[in-house]
Amino acid sequence: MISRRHFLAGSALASLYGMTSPAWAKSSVPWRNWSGGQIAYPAGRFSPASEEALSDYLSTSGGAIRPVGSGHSFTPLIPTDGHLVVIDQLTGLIDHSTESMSATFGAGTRLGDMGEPLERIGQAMFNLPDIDRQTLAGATATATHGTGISFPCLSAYISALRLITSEGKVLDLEEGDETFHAAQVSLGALGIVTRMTIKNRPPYKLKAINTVERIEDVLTRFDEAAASHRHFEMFPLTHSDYALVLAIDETDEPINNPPPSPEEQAALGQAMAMWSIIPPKARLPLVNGLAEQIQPSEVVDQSYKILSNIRNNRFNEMEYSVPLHAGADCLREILHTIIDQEVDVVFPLEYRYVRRDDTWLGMSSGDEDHAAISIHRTASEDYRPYFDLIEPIFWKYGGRPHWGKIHALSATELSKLYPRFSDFQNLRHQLDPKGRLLNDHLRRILGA
Amino acid sequence: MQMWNRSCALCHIDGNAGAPRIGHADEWQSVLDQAPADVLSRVISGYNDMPPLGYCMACEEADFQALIDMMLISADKP
Repeated sequence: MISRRHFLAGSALASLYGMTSPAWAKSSVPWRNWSGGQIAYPAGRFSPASEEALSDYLSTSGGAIRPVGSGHSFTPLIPTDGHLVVIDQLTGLIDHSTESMSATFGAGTRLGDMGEPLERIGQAMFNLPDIDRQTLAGATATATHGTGISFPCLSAYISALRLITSEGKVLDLEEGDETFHAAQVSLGALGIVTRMTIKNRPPYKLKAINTVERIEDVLTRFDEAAASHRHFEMFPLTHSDYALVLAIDETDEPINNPPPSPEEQAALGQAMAMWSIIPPKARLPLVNGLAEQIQPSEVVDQSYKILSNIRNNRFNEMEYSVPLHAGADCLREILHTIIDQEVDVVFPLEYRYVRRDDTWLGMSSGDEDHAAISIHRTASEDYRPYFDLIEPIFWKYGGRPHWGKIHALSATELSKLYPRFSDFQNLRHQLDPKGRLLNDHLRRILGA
Repeated sequence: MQMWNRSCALCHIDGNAGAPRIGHADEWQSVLDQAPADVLSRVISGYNDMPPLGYCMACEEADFQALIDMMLISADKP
């Protein structure tokens, strides 16, 4: 007897192998981002199988469009009632050069899918952001970065890219072109990036050491540690004197990276759940006591397996970068505010350094390195009261928001933070004169 | 299958975020116990640590149903 489920499954397999949705489909489901905090009801989704198909579509269609990667931005960069352009099929290693130690990927490639093909051609990325599910296009469009005073954001490693404008014109840009540094961090507002060439280095292994230290002790030695380790960052525990500290360096040691046990995976989440039932003002001794029991740990693996991983727990995040010299004071004021205002938050913060870059809109662009500070709320909680309380502290220290993470700034404020902001506005208008790539959020932050 | 490789496979092979693993029938019982419409709704809207749309930005409702049903085949096998 064939069960209903078997029947459905058989139908499903036929569909999967032969007739999935056409590239150009009227949308039957809403779009939501990874955290679930953003929602949109697009008129349709277009998933081009090639750059030619995308160019043809753009040159023969009209109306609003927004390119989407993997939906990891917390800001409303994507929502549109027009059409989503999904770059899922523009993926994989396209070409590489051993001489220039660079590789060209389809822009829809997820960061987590780049490490192994690069290793096979004798290359590895210099650095990676924490989360590996993002697409290359999405991560670079928002100036997403990893950790390290020697390492700029991911966008700064692009040496060439292909941009297809909203009218279907194909632009190949490379270092030296006037508009290249704008297209490195485009917010998806200049066109749709379909491929990019990334500057790499030979493969290498990394050793990551996790410890727990008092926050003030870490801040005292942060500059020295950031300079002496390849990567150095800390995750201050709220309502606590302690932080989880992560130092990462190159190593020749054998790989030793066993998967964490279910108990280890669940440990921090269980601790956070326990802390959350204690009133914030009574939480400090409990958190301190547990932090003091955490033992150091270390793992060794290929660089891409150490630097970037999945994040199992969904959350919303606000991240600002402040000039390096202001980082410690800004972090202290945030932590004190959380305690003084008895903010009921158990999610750790993140504090790290990022090198300056030459992009027009990168959050660490310009003449000085930056300290990046992140605050988080689990996805099921209302993040607004907490983020609204903390955000003015970032402003006080001259902070620039991460383009993909929650912030309340508009073009009026943002134009004062970026010397090339008006140049970007003009270029956007030049490349997308009809404003097809704009949505409400982009109109607000770009003043369009 | 590319659609599955770029979405469901990200978590349902290794069991990331507590996801039931394809081929491990016992891990799918709680899914099988739900009404099919509820399963589809949770895939589209997100559920616990599973993100909305399960990382398939190009999927429409019929695609999600096909992907769900394909994975439930493995849940029926002993």
